[in-house]
Parts: sequence; C-alpha cells; structure tokens
Amino acid sequence: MRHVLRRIGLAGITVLLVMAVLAAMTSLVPGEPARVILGPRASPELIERVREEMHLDDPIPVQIWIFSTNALRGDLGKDFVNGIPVRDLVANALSGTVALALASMVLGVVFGVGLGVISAARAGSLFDRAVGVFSITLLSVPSYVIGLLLLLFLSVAHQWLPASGAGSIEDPADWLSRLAMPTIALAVGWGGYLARLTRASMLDVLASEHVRAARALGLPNRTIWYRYALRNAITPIIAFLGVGAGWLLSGAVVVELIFNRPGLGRLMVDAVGSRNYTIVRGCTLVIAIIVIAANLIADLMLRLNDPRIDLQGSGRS
Amino acid sequence: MSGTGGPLLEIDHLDVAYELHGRALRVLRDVSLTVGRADVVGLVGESGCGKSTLGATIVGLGAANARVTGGAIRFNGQDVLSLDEAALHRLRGAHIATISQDPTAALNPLFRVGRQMRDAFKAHVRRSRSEFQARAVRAMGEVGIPDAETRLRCYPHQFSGGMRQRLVTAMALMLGPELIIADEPTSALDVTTEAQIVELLRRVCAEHGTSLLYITHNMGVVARLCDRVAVMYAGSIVEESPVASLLERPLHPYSRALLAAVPSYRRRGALATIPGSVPGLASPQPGCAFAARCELARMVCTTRPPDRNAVEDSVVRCHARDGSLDYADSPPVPGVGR
Amino acid sequence: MTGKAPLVEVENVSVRFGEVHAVDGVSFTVERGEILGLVGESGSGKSTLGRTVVGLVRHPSGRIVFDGRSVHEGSRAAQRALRMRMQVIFQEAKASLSPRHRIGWLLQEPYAINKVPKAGRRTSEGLLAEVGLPAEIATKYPHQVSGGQARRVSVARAIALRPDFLFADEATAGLDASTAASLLNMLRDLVDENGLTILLVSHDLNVVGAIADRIAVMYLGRIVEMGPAEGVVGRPSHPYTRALLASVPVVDASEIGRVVAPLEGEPPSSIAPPPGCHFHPRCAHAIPPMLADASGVRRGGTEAHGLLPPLARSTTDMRSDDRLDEEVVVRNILRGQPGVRFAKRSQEGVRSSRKQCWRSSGMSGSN
Repeated sequence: MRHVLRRIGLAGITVLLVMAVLAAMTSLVPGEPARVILGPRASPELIERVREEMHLDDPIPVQIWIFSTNALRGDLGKDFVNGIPVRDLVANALSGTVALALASMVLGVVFGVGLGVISAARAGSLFDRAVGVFSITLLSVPSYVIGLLLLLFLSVAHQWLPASGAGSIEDPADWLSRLAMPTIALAVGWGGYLARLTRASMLDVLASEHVRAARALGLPNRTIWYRYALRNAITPIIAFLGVGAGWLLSGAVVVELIFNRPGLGRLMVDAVGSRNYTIVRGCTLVIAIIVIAANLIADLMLRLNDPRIDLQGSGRS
Repeated sequence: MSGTGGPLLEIDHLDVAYELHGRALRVLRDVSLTVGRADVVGLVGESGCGKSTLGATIVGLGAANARVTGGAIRFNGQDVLSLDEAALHRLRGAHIATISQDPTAALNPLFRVGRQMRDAFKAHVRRSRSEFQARAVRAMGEVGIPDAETRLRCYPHQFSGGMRQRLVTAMALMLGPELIIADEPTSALDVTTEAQIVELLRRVCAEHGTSLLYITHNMGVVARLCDRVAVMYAGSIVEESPVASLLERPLHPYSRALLAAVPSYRRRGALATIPGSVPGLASPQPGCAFAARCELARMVCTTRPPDRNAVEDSVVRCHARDGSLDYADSPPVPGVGR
Repeated sequence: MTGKAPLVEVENVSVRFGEVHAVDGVSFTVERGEILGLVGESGSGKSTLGRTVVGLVRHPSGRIVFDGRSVHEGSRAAQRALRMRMQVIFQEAKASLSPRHRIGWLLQEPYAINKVPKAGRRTSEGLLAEVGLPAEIATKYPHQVSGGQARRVSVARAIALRPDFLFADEATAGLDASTAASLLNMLRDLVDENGLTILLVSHDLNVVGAIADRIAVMYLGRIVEMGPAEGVVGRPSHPYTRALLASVPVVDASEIGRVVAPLEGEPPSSIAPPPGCHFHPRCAHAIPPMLADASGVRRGGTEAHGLLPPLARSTTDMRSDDRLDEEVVVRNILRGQPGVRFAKRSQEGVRSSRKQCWRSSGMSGSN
C-alpha cells in the first residue's frame, strides 16, 4: 500500500514539473516573451493583453506559481483571440479525442492480443506466418495513410460511412459511424504491434518450466493457455499500454485532422497556427496528465497482476 | 487403468531421436528399463546422457522435435506411446506425477498456491471444494508444510526454496499417483535441505506404495534412496544393478570410472578421472559409445554395439562382460583407452 | 610454510548490503601454498567473503592484508598492483569469456590490460598446456569449447599474470563428475608445483573435503568451524559442521539406505539473523544464553563478538562426543566476559582448529 501511495505521489510531482516547465518555457526563450509568442506582426494592444494575461512581467517563479495554482483550480487561462476560457475549449475537445483513443485502444487490444495468442498457439503454421506478415505490414504503414485509404474506399467510393465530423453522442448510431473509421485508422498499427508483442510473450511463457509442470499435472490445455499462460504473458503488454498511451494520443491528433473531427488535435493545430499560446499550453498539460495517468494505471495494474512486484517495490511490506 | 499384475512401468527397446535441421540425432538408443510397484529406481548419468529425455518421454512431454523412432513404453500394461492427447492428460498427474529440478520455476508465480493445486485437482477429480481442501491439506501435512490452510492462500514466492520443493511434492502426491518421476528434484537445493527432501520422498513413497524413478547425476543420493540403479551413458543404459552391487562391484567400466571420479571428502588426494569426453550426438559411434574412453576396449567394442547381458542381479551392456569369445579373441585397439 | 607470515590475513571483516549482513565479523588467514576450502550453504556469505578478500567488494569493515599490505587501503596504483597478484575463477566460466574473441586472444588479454612487456608474457600455448588443454584450443571461440574446457581456459587466463593467489568461486559447479575431478586435480597441481595459494569456495563439502588443506565452514555470515581438513571432516566439533557432514551424500556402500535429515527447516534470513549463535534455532545443543538477546549479544555489528561463541583452540584432545556441561557454560557467562579469554587464546597457532560454539568453549569452567 505504501508503494501505491508513493507511486501516486510520484505521478503528482511529475504533473507539477510539467506545469512548471510549461509556465517557464515562454520566459526562457530569449527576447520579449509576448512578442516571441505572438510573432513580429502582433499589434501592441494584443502584446500588452498577453503580457498581462500570462503575467509575463513577473519573475519566473511567480509565473510558475500563478500558472500552477490556477491550473490546479481548473483555470488554464483565456484564449488570446476570443477570450474564451481555455478550460472550456479543452473540455469540449477532450471528449472526442479520448473517445477516439479509448476506442482504438480497445480495438487494438482485442485484435492484437487475439491474433497474437492464436498465432502463438499455432507457431510455425501458415496462419502464424500470415499473421506475422500482416501485422508487420499494419505496423509499418502510418495511420494517416490507412485513414486516407479508408476514406477513399468507404466514404468516397461507396459512401458507407460519413467522411468527417464527430456527430453527437445524443445520436449514438451516427456518433459510432463517425467514430469507426478514425478508430480503425488509429488502431491497426497499434494492433499489429500488440500482435507481435503478444505472440513473442506467449511463446516465452509457453516454453517456461511452470507450463511444463502444469502439463505434467495433467491440466487441460485450455486451462494452461487461457488461465495460466495468458496471465503471465500479459505483463509486457500492460507495460506497453502505459507507454503507448502517448503514442495513441499523438496518433489521434493526426487522424483527427484527416477526418476533420473536433478534438485536441484540431484544437492544438489551429492554436499553433494562430499562435494562441495559452491553448497550446493547456492542451499540452492535459495530454501530459493523461499520459502520466495512463502510466500510473499501467503500473498499478502490473502490481495487481504480479504479486511479486510488491517485494521489489517497497522492500518488505 | 487397472493393475495387470505385471510391472508398473516397462520401457522396452526405446529409441528417441531429435530432429534438427533435417537430421535425426539419436538421444536414446535401445533403452530398456523396468520399474516395479513400490520400487525406487535411480537413473544416473552425466549431463546430456539422455536421462531427462527418458523421463519426459514416459509422460509424453518430450521436446517438440523429439520423435520416438522405436520401442515401447508400457504403464500398467498399457502402451503409453499410442495414447491420444486426452488419455495422456488423464495419465499425467493422476497416475504418473513429475517433480522437476527447479521448484521455483515449476510454480506459476502469479497464482496462489491453492489455486494451482485446485486446478490440478479439478483436472482429474469431479469433487467438491471441501473435498479438495481436505486432500490438499492432508498432502501438505504429509510433506511437512505446517499451517496448510493458510499456506494455500500464499503465492509461491512467499515460500522458501525447500518449502517450494515440498509444495511441488505435495501437488504430485495429492492425486495419489502410482509412479513419481523426480528429475533432479534436489539439484537446486542446499545439502541439508536436499537431505530433508530425499527423506521425504523415501517416506511418502514407502507409505503409499508409490514407485519412484529418481533421475539424478548424484550417485550419493541414489545410494541413499534407491533399490536399483540404472547408469546411462550417451543415450544408453550401460548397467542396471541393485544399488549395493553397483557400489561394491560395478560391472560396466563406465560405472566404475564414474564412481571413482566423484569427489568425496572421505577420499582425499588426487581424484580419478575419465580420459576423453562424451561423444557428441552428431557423431554416433558404431560400437560401444564408451569404447573410446574405456580401458578395457578392444576392436570388437569399436565396431559392434554390445547387447544387454544379465549378470546375477544386474544387466550390463559390455563386450567384456558378456562372456563370449568375441571379446577375448578381439585384438586391442591401437591408441585408444590406456 | 612455517615461519612465514600468512599470505592473506582477514581480520574481523563484515560486509553489509543494505539490511543484509552478508559477512559478519570474520577472521581467518590463508597460508602460503595451501588450498583453503570455504564451504557453506547458499546465503552463508562464502562467495561475498571470497570476493571481499580479492577486493571485489568495496568498503568492508575490518581489515584484509595480502602479503603484508592492506587490500582496501593505499593508492590506486598500489591496490592495482596488489590485485594483479590475486586472480579469480568465476563459476560462470563461459560468461566471463567474451564470445567475440578467440581463446588465444583472451589468454593474452590480461597482459594487454596490464601493459605487461613482451618479455614477461607467456604464450597462449604454454598457458593452455599448463591447464592440460591442447594448443589448438587457442584458435577456437568460447562457445566452441565444452564447459569443462571453458573452466580450464578461465584458469589459464587467471594464471597468466603469475598470481600468488587464486580465488575459485564454485569452480566445479555444474560440471560432470569426471570433468570436475580433473579440474580439481589441476588446481591441486598448481598449488603443489607452482606454489600457488587457493581460496576454494564451494557449497559442496565433497569437493572441498577432497582437495583442501584446511576447511572453513560458514553459516549465516560467520565461520563456525575452521581447521585442517582431516580434522574438520574427521572430527567435526560444531553441530552445524556435523549436520552438514551427515547431509552430504557420499558415494560409498555405507551410504546405502542411510536415513538422514539432521536439520529441520532452512537457514534463517541474513536480514535479521537470530541473536547469539546464528545456528541456535536449529541446534540440538542450544542452551539459554544462545537464545537470549538479553545477555548482551546484539544483532550483527561488531559489538556482538564480545559475547559471540568464543574462538577456542585446537580441540584435537576433545572427543567429539564429549557431553556438554551446560551448567558450566551458563555459570561462565554469568560471571562476566567468557569470550575474551578464549578469543586471546585463539591467536596462538594458526594451524590449529577453531570453531565458534559455546559447547566446545565452555569445556573448562575454571580455566
């Protein structure tokens, strides 16, 4: 338990560090910070507003303090252009991105782990080799290429699925149909990687002595496979899910652009284009928090899965 | 699987080969061995002699590339090699239990001990949870694990090395097998713990009338535990004797050389060694596999494999011991042996 | 050997890894030209002790003197020069040989590392011959030789610099009987013919007992008995040594059907070793002072040694079956410092057998 608390504390400190870096970054660049942010052609009024808005005249520690305390209260500052609170912009965009990332994660895990387990079961067979080639192909094609192909085939050629937008959750059928293609585009590479990882991990476990011992006790193959070996093989997969959350989110940004879905990706790209620094900063912070949380969850899941980690983590408890 | 009155386990002229890059490497050559009911038989040999392969082949758990190319294995009179997968599953655990070298590796680290025992139990017996609990606790008590009910809820890493080997033994005993194949069960343990486990195996096998095939490289443990011993060299059983007669008058030159080479604190000073090295699987010998290292070798030994010969209570594979004139008339081998 | 100072003197050495007391106040000497066997079960600290002696474990407490010079003190250059004279053979012989180089190259590597002038180098063939290997081994890679040959190659590498002292850590573990036997014979020859001194660490009393001149038995970080090999295996005094001897399987007709399990349980954790004598929870001869913390025996640390089972002198006059006079021991302890007197006595005669056990120390209450 002590280890869990410590791990959570560590995640909290990481978030604070990210906040500090984001707050200090503008002032660390040489030159007048507001002008650096807004570019050479910004009007003096806007520069003045931004300076005030971001407390750029204060010393850096004060800036960090103000930004962090505000962020902890949920205040991420205001959009330079329209004065809309960044929190609201991010909150609106977040649901779409999280839905996309989660859906891709689930799809990727189901297909990747499934294919991996089956090909490990038939290692060396034609099926195994086909899955191997297939998953490496999926792995090496970027998600935007897959997204474009899906668009061309399913929307342009056949008009089976709507090409853009996110729809509204109030109309679930429409919402899902608009989620489908981006999800697939994002999930295939991820799924391909998971398939390879799962297969290798399963084969490792199946060669282990305890699987042999279970066989020697006459346990049915089904029990050995799906109850024992899979649970052992899942460890590297969980570890990868934590790290891969960042990968998924950055992939989601690109996919959102292709499918013209509102989301963090759209929001950030637009904000970068218009040099709307507070929005970029807010989005970055939220993404960082999600990645840190994903790692934390993966870590805690690993602990749940493996009773031995307790020993390594906190000495003796 | 009812008893037929014959021996419990009969291995009859067994040949096993590994397929490697399209070649067949013979790992077991014409191996015959019998384990009677309540017999404790030792299978001794150096690493790579095929003793573990033999143990694994009996329960159909040989390596993926191992093929039985000849001979038969009968358990309770039934041909094990012809059993289908389902029948093999029923055989393993319930009738033939296996205890392997490393008890730490033999237990799945992610599952509670009780869960692993229960799954093994459920695989063979359709009984209630309370029945399982009773049997598991009894088996753990027998192997000297105190406080069994609490221990069932523990994970393997919460046991010490010796306790894990007791646990694995309890799992093997729980289903009341007729035969236990123990493959180097104490190699990973310290000597004082080894002594405990050897005593434990001796006691439980005697109490239940369970037969034991004890595979090891440790001749001393065999002396302590076994009734009979089979000595393996390069895939063949070169001698099978009662333990006392092996220790006092080893018949095969290899048995004798091996016994002399084992270091012992009771025999101080220079140790006897065996010249040369074990022939590789890839370069099989036409004659006796030990001929190149044997001080008794003659020409016949290098050209023809020796047959099994009964000498009193022993069976030995050696031209020098078969009493025929072939050996006596054969010229010595130039430049071989000593 | 008599008259000369010991090659290695270990004085009150302790090693702690965090909470683990790996080595706990150990003192002994290694005489010139002998094989000292250090035997113990896993966790006894025997390997750590050996590594500490050759300077592989940094900052131990206590003092290790090699040929008159401290191993852990002095300038870097001096330490380096000293360590060239102490070489190690590790258990994982193959792992200690780089797979990318031929054995001939590996045998010359110690010279290259230490910038030994050409004249001082021995040929690979010469080194291989010394360890009983044919010269063509030099052209092979480590993975192309057998386990026994790899072990010999690492011995050849270790003796390349003509060291005075060799620490062999489980040198025969995992080898077949015949291969192990010839390796042990070779080590013996190196000692007898080249005057090498060897510290042979092994878990196998058969190995140590077969070739060592003297034997030290370790249990939970301490040496519990030490003496000439014939004495230790022939007339063991410490209850743990006896248990170890009874447990070790011997290839001998007397072994047939022998029922032995002299010890119950397993060694306790070296994180919190039992107070007093570490062996007392498993000892049939344990008496109250060994059980109690109250008598002033503390866990670990050097203070404990004032009351540790004292080091007694040779016990060749003591029959191993002598009954323990528990009362005398207890009275002795109650009187004051029973350990000091015996500890002083132990300084006499390094060749004598000594052990750490209340049982033998309390033999004469009035002495």
